[in-house]
Amino acid sequence: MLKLREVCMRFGKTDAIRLLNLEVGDGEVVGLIGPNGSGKTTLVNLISGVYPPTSGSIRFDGREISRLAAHKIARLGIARTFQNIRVYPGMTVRENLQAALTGSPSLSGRDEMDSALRQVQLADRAEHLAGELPLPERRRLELARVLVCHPRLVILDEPAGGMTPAETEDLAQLIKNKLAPGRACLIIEHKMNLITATCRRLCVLHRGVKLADGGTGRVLSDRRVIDCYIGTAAGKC
Amino acid sequence: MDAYHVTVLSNIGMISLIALSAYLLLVCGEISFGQQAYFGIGAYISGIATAMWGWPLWSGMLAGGLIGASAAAFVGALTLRINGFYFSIATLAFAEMMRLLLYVFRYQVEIGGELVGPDGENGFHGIRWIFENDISTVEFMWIIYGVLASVVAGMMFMERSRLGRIFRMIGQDDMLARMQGVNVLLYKVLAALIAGFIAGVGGSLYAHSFTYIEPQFFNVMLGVHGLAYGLIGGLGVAFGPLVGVAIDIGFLEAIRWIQGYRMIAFGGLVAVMLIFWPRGIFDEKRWYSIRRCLRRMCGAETS
Amino acid sequence: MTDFLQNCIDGVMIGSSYALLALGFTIIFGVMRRLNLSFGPTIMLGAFGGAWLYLHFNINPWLVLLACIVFTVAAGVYVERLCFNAIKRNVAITSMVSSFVIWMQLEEIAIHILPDRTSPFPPLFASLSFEAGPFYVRSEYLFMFAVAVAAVFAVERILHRTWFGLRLRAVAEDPRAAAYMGINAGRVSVYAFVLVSVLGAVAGYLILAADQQVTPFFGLWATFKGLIAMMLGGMGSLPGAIIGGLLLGVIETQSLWYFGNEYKDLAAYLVLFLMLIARPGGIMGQRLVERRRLAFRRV
Repeated sequence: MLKLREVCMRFGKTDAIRLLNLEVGDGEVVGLIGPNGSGKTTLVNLISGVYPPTSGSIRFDGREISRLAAHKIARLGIARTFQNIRVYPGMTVRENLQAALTGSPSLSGRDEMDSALRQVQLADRAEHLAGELPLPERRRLELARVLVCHPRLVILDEPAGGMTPAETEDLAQLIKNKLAPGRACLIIEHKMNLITATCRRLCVLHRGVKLADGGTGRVLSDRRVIDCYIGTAAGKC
Repeated sequence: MDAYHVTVLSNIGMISLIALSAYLLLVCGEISFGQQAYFGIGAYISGIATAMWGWPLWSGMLAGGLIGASAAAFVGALTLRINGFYFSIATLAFAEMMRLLLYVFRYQVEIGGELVGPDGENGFHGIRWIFENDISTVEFMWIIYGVLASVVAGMMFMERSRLGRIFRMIGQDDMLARMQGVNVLLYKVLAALIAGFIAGVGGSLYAHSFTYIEPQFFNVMLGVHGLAYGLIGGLGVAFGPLVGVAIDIGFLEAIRWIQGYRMIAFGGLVAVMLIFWPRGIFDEKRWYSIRRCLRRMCGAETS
Repeated sequence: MTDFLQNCIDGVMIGSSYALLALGFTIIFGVMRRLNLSFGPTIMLGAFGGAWLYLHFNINPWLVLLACIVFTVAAGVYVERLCFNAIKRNVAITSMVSSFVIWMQLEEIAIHILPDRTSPFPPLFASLSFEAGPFYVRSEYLFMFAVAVAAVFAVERILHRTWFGLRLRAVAEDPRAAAYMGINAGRVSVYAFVLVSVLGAVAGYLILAADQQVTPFFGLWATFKGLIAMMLGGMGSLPGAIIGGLLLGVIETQSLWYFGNEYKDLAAYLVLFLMLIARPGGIMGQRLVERRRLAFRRV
């Protein structure tokens, strides 16, 4: 469904992404991990069209999207969340959902919005200003926004950032039961328990290069991955 | 109502239109220092149309609005790609360019043994439509307020529509809007176009109310006043700019002992206001609480 | 050809004054990432203070210069406190509007100080003009040019060789990180405004002394000329301010000579408008635009 071929991204003199190949199949949930600065968010920005890649091709459903304007990519059915949460602070929670629908081909009605809000436990907040919500609720609002849009590919950029273990567990359930069924997901996360709970396949980025790609268990036991990402601190104690 | 009050009220009505046009761009997150350019274009075009070509006021006004709108869309398409400061400075540069062009713009025809038309720095005399049609200043004031009311109603309607929602999305987070499938540049140019139309219509009224216009009227201060009114009134709701205008012209003009120090008082007032309410009196938050209060009150009555 | 070259020389001479004004804008933009549109009016107010003292007490021109500096610094600090320090960092555009509003205030205060539209202004030295081959040069402008170049070197030195400069750059890069390091961002920004006001007052004095008169329009004039020069040269770039100022001067004198007085300012605005469309960063400011684009990466 999503196919990246030899994608490169260069900022000035630094290579953020080098010759990256990545595929996400229909209905597949893929985790993406890597040290900070390894190019994960750059990858998300490339796919969602914040900027075009320096070279290489990105195909979605067989269609080349690497040179497409961001809003056109969004209309093809790719939705994303942001590492540093973005909501419209001057709109209510419900208006935020309506806003998410204005540019999307999805035709969700009021009922669907209500049910999306219930799923992320924001039903009683529907008429609150999004700018006044505490951080975890804003994160959940981002998820509700994805739910109402019915995208075909979801990219979550550190969805569990700043969450407690219990909240992370809830989030994993939500992703597994509501978000993932029937669509492709790409999840960027540092929290291993979220990754292991949701992703069958795992991909590791290191300094803009793909280090490993495969079944979650196998990748996590890979020597190189342990060296550069997971570290040996656990082994030492 | 004496002549003085009619003049003040007419002024409030016309300046409100430029404030509304600045407000629309503010809602989209863009600051324009150049709305006076479209105000001036509207004034000159409609003046030429009625005084020199004998058009009726309505078509002159429409022409002024449309030419203003197309100029604004043209400038917007060129400059809205560059955001923030650059857009503000580009609009300022365009407006000053426009004003300086009016100083060298000469186009006159002889009507009734008299030369009529824009004459560079000497201005544009004889836009006599309201005399020729026996319209008193009071009647013209009602025309102004009729136009203003329909513009405000249109904008209130727009705010509740999909278009208004998209404008607010862009204003609050244009990156997010782009990621949600909104063609940000297109809608920003559209906002500039509508704003240019409103300013152009305002300028048409201005030309016919004063019967004489000159390039100096359309200087930066006019645009800055419009902008300041939009900003102090608040970015939450379309009648915000009217509140801004009323505070300055209505309130400060009324206090006699402030005369001669008005700019000092108004400037200080706005500066202090911007510290506490950077998005104006009726910003999104306050307007939201007011809306909720109103809904609660209505709900209590019906139940 | 001689005409063209003479125009260029005149342009560079006039442009020196624009460069001095642009320096003030560019330092504030470099430090605060905000535009201070009241910069011209603060200089104008300072000059009015000096002119008032000169008119009523007939003081020495050097004292007038001193008075200009004192009044400009006072006005500059007032603007900094009200429009920059008090307004939160995340609404940078509001500062711009606020400084524009304060502009009107300063202008009206100036009119109340000296109700006559034009007031005399004393020069430091008698004006000299001398010939170099077929060309004429005026000494005041030569002096201005020297001051502008010296000011660039001085400011460059302050920014890169002193503790104050280090703090200033720290605040410019990341105000919050600077605050965590124990740098008082508010105080640094006041000092930056003081520095800029002194520079602006000297620039204003030299320009007005060359004209030997001051009007309330000087504020508008100074802001526009400085702003255009800065935008042409590149926002936040010190050499860009000089280049932009000189370029603006040359554009103005050439269009004055070939098209007439009405087109002088028009040409300047046209060049600015086209520059903003084609190359928003200005001649020297591309690096800054590039950096903003890089910052954009952290979405």
